[in-house]
Amino acid sequence: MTLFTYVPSTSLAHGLDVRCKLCCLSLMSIATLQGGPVPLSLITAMVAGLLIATAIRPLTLFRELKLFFLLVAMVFISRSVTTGGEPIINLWGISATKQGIVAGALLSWKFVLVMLMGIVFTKTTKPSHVKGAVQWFLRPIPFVPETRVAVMISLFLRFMPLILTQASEVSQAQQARCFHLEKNPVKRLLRPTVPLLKKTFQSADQLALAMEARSYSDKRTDPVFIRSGQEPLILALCFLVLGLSFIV
Amino acid sequence: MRTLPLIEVNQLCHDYDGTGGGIQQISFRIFKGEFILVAGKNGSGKSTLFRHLNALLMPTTGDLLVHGRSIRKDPLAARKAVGLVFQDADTQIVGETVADDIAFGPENLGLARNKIQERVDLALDALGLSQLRERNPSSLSGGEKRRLAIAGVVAMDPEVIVLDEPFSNLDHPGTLDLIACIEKLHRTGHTIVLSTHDIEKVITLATRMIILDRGRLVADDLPQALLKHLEPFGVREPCASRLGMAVQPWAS
Repeated sequence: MTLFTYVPSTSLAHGLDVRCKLCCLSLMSIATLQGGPVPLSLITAMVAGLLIATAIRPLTLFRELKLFFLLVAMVFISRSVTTGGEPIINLWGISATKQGIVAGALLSWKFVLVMLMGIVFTKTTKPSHVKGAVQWFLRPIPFVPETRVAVMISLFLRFMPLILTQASEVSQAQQARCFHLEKNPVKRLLRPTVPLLKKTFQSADQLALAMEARSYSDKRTDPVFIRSGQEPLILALCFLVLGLSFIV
Repeated sequence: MRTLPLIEVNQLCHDYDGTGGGIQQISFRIFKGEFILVAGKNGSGKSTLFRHLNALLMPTTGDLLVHGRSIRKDPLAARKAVGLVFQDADTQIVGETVADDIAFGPENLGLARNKIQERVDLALDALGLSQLRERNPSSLSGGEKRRLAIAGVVAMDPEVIVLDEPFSNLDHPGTLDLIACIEKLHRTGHTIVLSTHDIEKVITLATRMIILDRGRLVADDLPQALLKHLEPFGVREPCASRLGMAVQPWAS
């Protein structure tokens, strides 16, 4: 998926320290879920500005997120017809209330905002920097092997596409031998799963060897964090919006 | 006069399951600057031997010395001196970008960040990957992935680079690029140990050839001297040699 991959650039969001970006993401997510129309409008303006700066085409955004928008539409409809209040639309005996439409629109707005914030974050942040930030945030927590957790996150991000490719190859190889005609649901589940698991475990085994061959250990060079100098200002702004979300 | 060997393999045996499989009684020495071509059919023990050179496997009996130190006593020294590139590039690339993957090895060695950056830049340049430094490895071609896997090892600054079947599943341009990179690494002072089924691709670069058969070392000589004795061991004689002509280099 191209929407959730890092794209190098020199925008404001790209230059921010990843730890600041993670904090801002958390604060804005809380503000979004907590706030009413005023803070939501503020957050929308901020996110729109960042999206423009990252040069994402609205059409691409909509195409890549069409399933998500379908889910949002279902949430909106469900809220509209299940919330009690003054009915304004009546179709086949199902009424959508004014209060339901308002609540549904607000909830949908929040969902879309959280998703867009996630996109801005992933588009402007290298996965290795996320790994470094996770390691930094976990360090003070006792009994948590932060280096290992960070490497696991990194490997997950790296190998997920590979596993999906392998799953697709297994599926195509079986379809080429008319497996799609198989009616037994248990066989339909097991036949592709067994070779995929075998391939995945073999790959994991080879990966472990390759990491060992490159002298992998928990005592690795620490990640570095690059600051743009804008971090205090951005954090202050996020705290302000969070405060507003609780007041307005 | 020849210098001291970088690697000394003495009566090396590795028995996987107690049935005598693996490799048996292998002895040879590797000197600085050599380009050793290791040939043999599937299951002849090439990969098992290579994993000992990098201390991933320990000998059942016998020993392997890197700079005179046994890999049993100092496996980390062996891993620093010998870089091993596996056959399947996909399963050895661990970074989310090309530059991150190359940095993985130097980070494991605990180098300072500026030194790591320097090593990454050098490896990117050596393998012709500078333009791809921010690319996601999963979007690279087969040949680029193979070069990335080698760059990841080069960044650890090993003296010896061991390549296990580096040309498998590569198209012709990818193979030519890779041969050129390997030749460049050899020219810049690295000792190369490489296994392949299709020896024609690199035989003109090799300074020495070793043939393994059923886990045993059956020949160790100059490549030209072994050309006519390959086929009984399941290795195809280059076409030019069959026709009585000199084998031409693949890379200019």
